[in-house]
Amino acid sequence: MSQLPWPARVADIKTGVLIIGGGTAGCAAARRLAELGERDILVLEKASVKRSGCLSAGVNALNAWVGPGASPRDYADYALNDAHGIGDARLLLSMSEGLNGAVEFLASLGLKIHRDSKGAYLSRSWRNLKVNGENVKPLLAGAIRGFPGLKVRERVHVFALTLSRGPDRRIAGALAMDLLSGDILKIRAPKVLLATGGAAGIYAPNAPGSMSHRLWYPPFNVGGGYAMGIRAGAEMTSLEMRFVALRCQDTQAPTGTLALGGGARQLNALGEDFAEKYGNTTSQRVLANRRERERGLGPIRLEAPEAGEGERERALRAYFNMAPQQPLKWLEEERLALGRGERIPPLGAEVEGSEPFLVGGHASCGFYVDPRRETSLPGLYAAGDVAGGCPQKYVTGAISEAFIAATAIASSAAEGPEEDGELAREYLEAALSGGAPGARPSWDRAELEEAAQRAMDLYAGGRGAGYRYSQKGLATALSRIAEIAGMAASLKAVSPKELSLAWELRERLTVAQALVGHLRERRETRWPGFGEYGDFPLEDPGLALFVNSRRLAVGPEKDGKTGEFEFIFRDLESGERLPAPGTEGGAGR
Amino acid sequence: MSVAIDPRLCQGCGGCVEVCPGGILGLSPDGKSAVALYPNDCWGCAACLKECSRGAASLSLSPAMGGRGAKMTAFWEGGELFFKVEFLGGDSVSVKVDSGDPEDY
Repeated sequence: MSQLPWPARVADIKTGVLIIGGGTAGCAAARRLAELGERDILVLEKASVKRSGCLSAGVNALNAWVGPGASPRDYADYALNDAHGIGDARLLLSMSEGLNGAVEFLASLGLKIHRDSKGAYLSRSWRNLKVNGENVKPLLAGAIRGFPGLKVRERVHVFALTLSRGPDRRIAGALAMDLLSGDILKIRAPKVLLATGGAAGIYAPNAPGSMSHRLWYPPFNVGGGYAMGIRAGAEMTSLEMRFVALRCQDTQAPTGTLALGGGARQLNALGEDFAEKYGNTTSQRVLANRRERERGLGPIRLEAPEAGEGERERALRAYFNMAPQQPLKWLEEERLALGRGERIPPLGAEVEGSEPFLVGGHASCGFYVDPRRETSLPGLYAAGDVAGGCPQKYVTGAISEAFIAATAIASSAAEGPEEDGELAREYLEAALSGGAPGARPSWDRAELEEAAQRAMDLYAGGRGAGYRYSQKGLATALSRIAEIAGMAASLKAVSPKELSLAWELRERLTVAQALVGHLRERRETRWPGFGEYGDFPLEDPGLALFVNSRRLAVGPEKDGKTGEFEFIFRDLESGERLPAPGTEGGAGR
Repeated sequence: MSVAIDPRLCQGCGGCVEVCPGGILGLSPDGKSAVALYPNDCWGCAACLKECSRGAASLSLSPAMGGRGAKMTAFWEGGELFFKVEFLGGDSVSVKVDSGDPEDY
């Protein structure tokens, strides 16, 4: 590896099953595969499995569960309705059928799920269980560490998927770098599960400067899995369904605990409860908050009724279990009030919409997968936030999907194809080119990240643009992002960590280009809370279909250029290919 | 200020470095203390606090987030996790996180 400024060795590794990402889905799939008798499983995690991904800070509710009297179909229907119809009913149903098994799995690991005196789960609603889950990620990590047949390797950045030779390419393995040693890992695996999570940092964050990483979704989930899939020519779905979360201002802590646990309501500056005016899907609730502020009736506060005995402390505990900055903020407010001799303010928070994220656990975006969770690249599976078509899966749905994928992987052929060595070399060369000696450009990684996030914010419906975008703006976004990607290709890195950060920027840029194409192609406004298309401001019933995409070229981007995408329109139920909307025989206006 | 490591308290065990989901912490060149290499990249998840038995790793809210100088650390007692918030005046409050006990919020 002469291109690198550190002495890097190359290690060749062979494994039966490779799992990329040791988060919720990755841990669950690894454990299930080992239980099914797989004896050669390798989990690669960029951080440490003990605290990584969405659950680094913990969780205080299991938001997907099928309570007494309800059926998996009820949950699937609810999720599809909440997504305004854009989801795969088969994926949703099979995910829903596994929800209660996922709850049992977490309970078997030691997660304490609250029960009443008769032993029944204490629920917040028919689909929502309370837990104090500060320890959920250590429990999931404990389920795979030292388990027979399972190897876990941490601080490893996987940067490319390798494939067999064309035209019927299938997965052949992956390329990675050890972040501690800087060594390059060439991994051969006939079966690969992607469980890398969704994407944050595509858009300018809620607040700049010291708060730029105080996001709802982990800023370390940069969409690397999506990017690897896009570069490998996998079919992606519904990237245009971005997710905007309604969150506590400043800390970006979840609001559901205050709303469901504390009975809190959103109130505008006049003290009016306005929720009923806008409807009750997730997108509509986000829109309600925004519209009221646009009317000049902000700030919008989520306020709990007068707290009863001990309720304040229980709320603090609930938040310490998942978003510890929020109780820190409350305690600071309390201290201020006491110091001034004022009464302690009621529990509550100003709430606002986050910047848009790509997250398949909430929205439908991600890899287009079949009912076995296999992607369009044979041998490559996806589960959790990286997998599309199956919104509202949350933690338990990610586990359910991981189990489905694990079962499919265990029952599929173990023989791997011959790797396309030329393609692997191209990936490696492109990834390491940044380490080559030469003149340093005048920009640095952080500046390019800021430039990309600003372009997306302004021209592709970010928070700063009121989540609105137009065809003209999207074209500007695309050309700007492509230009920045070209600049990013020449970034130099002096350490494995810096090279990893440069790769993360490039991964976001790849995802951004695909996303902008998706926004352009869905010519309607289906989820106004998440985004409004100025050229097509209404929902078009004819566009109840999947917008999918596939990058035409396979391999690394040349000078940052991602190149052309093919857009594929599919029937929501059969998955059959449909004529492009607006063309002869196609749907839509 | 976000995540901070107090070099007077840190013994360089590396526990916080290992668990940080963003890989933003590292050890000082002499290995005697952890350091926040990329403090502005901190998410605020508090994973490092939970690893630190000496209270050397702390988290505070920046003024833009409504921070008024309080510093949060964590400690374990009898197998239970506590968060401790020390206010600017020096007084403090500790809250048991209680992952085992039912609560109805």
